Amino acid sequence: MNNQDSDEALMLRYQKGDNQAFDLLFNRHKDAIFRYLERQCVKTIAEEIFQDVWMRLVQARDQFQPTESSRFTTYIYKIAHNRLMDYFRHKSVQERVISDAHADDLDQLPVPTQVLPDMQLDTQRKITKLTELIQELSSDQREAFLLREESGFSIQEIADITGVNRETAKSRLRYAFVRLRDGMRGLT
Amino acid sequence: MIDKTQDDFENYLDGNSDLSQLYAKSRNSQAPDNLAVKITEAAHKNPSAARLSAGNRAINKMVLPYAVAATIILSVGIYLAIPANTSDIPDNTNHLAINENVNNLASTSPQQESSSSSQAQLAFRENNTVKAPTQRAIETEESHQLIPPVATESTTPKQLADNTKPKYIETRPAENTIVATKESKDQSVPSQASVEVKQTKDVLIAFSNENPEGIAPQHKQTIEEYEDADFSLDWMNRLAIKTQDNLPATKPASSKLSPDKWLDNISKLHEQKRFKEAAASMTEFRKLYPYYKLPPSLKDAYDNKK
Repeated sequence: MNNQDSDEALMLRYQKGDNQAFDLLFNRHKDAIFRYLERQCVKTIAEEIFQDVWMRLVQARDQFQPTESSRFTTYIYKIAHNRLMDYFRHKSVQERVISDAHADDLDQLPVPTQVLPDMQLDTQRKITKLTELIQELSSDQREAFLLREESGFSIQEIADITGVNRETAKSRLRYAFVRLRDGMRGLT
Repeated sequence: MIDKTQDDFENYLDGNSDLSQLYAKSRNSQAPDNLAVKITEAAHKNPSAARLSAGNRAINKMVLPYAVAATIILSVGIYLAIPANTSDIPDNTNHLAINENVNNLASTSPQQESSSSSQAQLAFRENNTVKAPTQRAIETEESHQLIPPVATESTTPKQLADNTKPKYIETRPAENTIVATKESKDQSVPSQASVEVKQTKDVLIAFSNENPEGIAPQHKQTIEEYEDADFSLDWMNRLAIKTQDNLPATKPASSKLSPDKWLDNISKLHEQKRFKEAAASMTEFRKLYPYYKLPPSLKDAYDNKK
């Protein structure tokens, strides 16, 4: 099997019963999707939704019809987005919870020591700051930014996934970019 | 400033941004391995399940059409099974019941004859009351006049025996004979129903001669209850006619007329300038038909006065 096969080709193979195609597909996207979820809710919920997203994909794989405008990544991120919205609606969560696990991640960051070169320390400080700034974004802006950064979606694709028009998606991404850039300005 | 922001954003969209590079370095978290194993195992198991579910989907697709077809077939079947006009259903139950009563009467001993005859008479009345006498009597005013009410508060059992029963006995079989005659016209031979009715008539006439006391009070009560329970679509008409029947004896003869004829008579009285009589008649009319619409000529004279 060619590892360079497109996501859509792999999905079509999986529809025909090729399990290896699914493994390839899963390994390509699992981390990005997990981070997309993890940065928007607590880790336990992210794990639950992550599993649910993939199981829904498996169950509904026959319904996937690749087109020029509908890529596999758009398809699965749309499932993830909808599942996340279902969760927020179900829990009546108005403000998306900042991941506790993420705080743990921050704690688990390598402790700056004198052994580390200055450059590494500086980068680590910037990463920590960026992570904090991302959590301070509004939920819509954060989602737009994560979709852009995790999977490189275009503005139109972000609009499709989140169910808004192109201008709204562009505005959200632009505000997110400006806030992060301005927040990072002092460190650069 | 805006231009600079716009330029920066365009650069960011092109992927030439420090922010994107920094974010790329922060991608340190991964999907948990245990979840990954669980998902891939489930995905590998699923093909057979998916094929099965595809089969189920095919079956499920057929469930709705089958359900709709079954409903339509059932509806049509029920529609065809029920006759369009329930009056077309031959009322054999009455004839059978009459026949049974006659046979029972014939087989009773002389001591039991009196009570059996009474039961037979009651059964005859009840069986025939399924469609008559009240319901048929209401259909035409003439037939109503032929058949007096079975029992009213003012009638005693004796009066009922003297006045009501003989007429009734004469009237009901006659009606049934008409029905039977129609049947025999069609079949060119005397029908079983006409024979049964004739037999019953003979038995009941004999009974009435032997029992001038007429219907026992408890039977009278049963008949009243039966009549009370005899609801039908034209109950309002029956109620109106019953109201007419229960009016005092001094009621004007006009009350026997139909409302329109009555109003015509009042109009004629008006034309003849017999206003007092017209007013009295109108008062009586209004007692019986308080909301009946008056013709324009009378409306001006009476409704406007109110």
